[in-house]
Amino acid sequence: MSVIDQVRGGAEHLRDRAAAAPSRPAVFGRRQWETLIVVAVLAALLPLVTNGLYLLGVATTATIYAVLALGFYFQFCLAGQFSLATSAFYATGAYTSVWAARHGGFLVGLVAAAVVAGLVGALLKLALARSPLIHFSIATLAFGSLALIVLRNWESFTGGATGRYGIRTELFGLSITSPEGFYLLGLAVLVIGLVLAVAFERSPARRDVIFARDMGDVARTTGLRVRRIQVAAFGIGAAYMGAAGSLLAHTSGFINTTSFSVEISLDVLLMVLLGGVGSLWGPVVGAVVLTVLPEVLRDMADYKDLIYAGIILLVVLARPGGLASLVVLARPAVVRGGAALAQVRPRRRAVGGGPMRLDGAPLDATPTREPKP
Amino acid sequence: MGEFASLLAAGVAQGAIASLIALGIVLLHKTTGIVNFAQGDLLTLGAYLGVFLVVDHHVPWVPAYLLTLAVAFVVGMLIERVGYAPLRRQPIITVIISTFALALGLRALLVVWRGQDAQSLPAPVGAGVWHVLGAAIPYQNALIVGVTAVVCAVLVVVLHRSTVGRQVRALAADRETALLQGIRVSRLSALMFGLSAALAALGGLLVAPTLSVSTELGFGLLLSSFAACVLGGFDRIGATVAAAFTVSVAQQLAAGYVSPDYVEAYPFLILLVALVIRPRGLFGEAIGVRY
Repeated sequence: MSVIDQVRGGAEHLRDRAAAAPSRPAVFGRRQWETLIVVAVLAALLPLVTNGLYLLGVATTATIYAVLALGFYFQFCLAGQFSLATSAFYATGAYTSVWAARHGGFLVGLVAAAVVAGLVGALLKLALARSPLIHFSIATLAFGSLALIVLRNWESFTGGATGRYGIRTELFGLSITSPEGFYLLGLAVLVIGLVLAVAFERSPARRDVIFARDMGDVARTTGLRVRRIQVAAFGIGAAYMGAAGSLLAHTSGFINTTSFSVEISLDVLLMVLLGGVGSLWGPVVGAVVLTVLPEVLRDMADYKDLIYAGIILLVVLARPGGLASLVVLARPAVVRGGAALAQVRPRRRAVGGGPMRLDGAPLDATPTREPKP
Repeated sequence: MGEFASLLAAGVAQGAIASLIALGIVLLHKTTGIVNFAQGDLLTLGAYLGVFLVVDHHVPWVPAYLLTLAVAFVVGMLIERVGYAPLRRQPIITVIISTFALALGLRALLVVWRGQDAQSLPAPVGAGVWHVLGAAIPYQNALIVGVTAVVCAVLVVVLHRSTVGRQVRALAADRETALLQGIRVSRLSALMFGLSAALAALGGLLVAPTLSVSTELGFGLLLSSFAACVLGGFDRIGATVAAAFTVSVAQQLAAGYVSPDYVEAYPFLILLVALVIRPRGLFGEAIGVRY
């Protein structure tokens, strides 16, 4: 019995290893549609459990941040672009949505926010398409700051320092005013975002995007339009961020320039890193945890950033690919440990040290996904 | 004429600070291939240490400044040990994220230590001004430019004439070969982190009397230094210093003659436009991946 089990276990283990290289993508083993339905239904039941204003407010914020983090997932995890312009897309979406909603209600505002922010993101990526990784990060940091300054000074559009008050939220002729309504609205947008993301994940587009990210030049030789793919992925991410901005404006009813700071870009990065970069659930989990955690640790507010910094360092040092790599890569990690060392060393040596690593290193947060010979 | 001269003088002083920070970034990038986003907060640390020693404990300013630089040097080496050394085999983006985390942690520590209120550091040379061509130039600005010139000159001489400088240049050229030549590469990396941290802290000490010291001080200055680094191509000291002065002077002139509302925005605008035209910076070489 035990011997047979062992043999069978061993055989399965071998089959797993043998099948690892050409197997179908892990995405299809994750039951994403089922997970999505369960999560959506459970989350929609929250207002029945509690009707506390405070709790629902926190939950609404969590949905907004989850949409924001999902946008960052597209840009960072799928397109491999380290962007610090999150707050700029967020703000663009919020102000666009307020402006457009005056003419046609919330839905028009939401769509306008996503479209405008997405276009801005795609144009930014297109303009900087030839810049190396570090240059691009710094340029997005500059763009984020620039956009916030422009919005602050463009008073006819944003209301300047006073911002926009009394934003009304009208959906199909209904006026949403209750905290439950705002929460369900946020959740609905998040679920739509997740549905689109899951559809994307299960389509061949995901494979193309990851191919373009990991092996840009090789992908180009196979006929993929690498630049177009990356511009599109970055734009989609920015569109999610714009939608999050629209949600913020319409659930809080008030925005001004202090609602959007560069710190938001860092918070979102932290959410995605903490939740995990390997699947689209990582950003959602990270956003929920990092919205609830500060509320729980209210007494330690002074040490919040210190704790965040410690968390990022722990994630980066202990598992450089993020928490998700623990789950996704736990299986081959042991096997690969020795092989990776043997493979990586000569590669690095051939590429050379110093600045060349800028171009030589893969633009990937999960280094263990080195191509196998 | 007076307005032009004073704008120019302000731009040059600002350019000197930017080039101090940018020098640290470029040296580090040349030798280790990474960009330290904690550079701005190391500058803030320098400014706060100055306030702590000079204002709170009445230490004379020469020992206080030297002590500050020493502390910043040690902090820089600590950053190397924690945020860079364990990640040397990881993709560059991982190291960047870890320096981000360290920057956030350093800033949080400064908030815990000194609180959120802005503080001020008196200028060691007094608050007097020179009148040149109708412009009033504070002594402190002259000190900033002078110290920066001396530091740049010393750095260039050390890099090109001393054993350590030769080792640093060997490390910048090729890490593996430098290792094979018996250069203690990891010790040298720590040294470069310390040096760039000390440069940032020096920038903080010099700029503190002209601005108010807050925990956000370094971040804003870091952004305009990044503009200089990117325009300078990230690898050349001369080009980076030139770019730092160009960006700062252009920023001041645009603020004076175009619109003061966008004073903080000009460096970003210059940076973005330059990167769109030249994806690797104005002075950056158009290198691809070498095979």
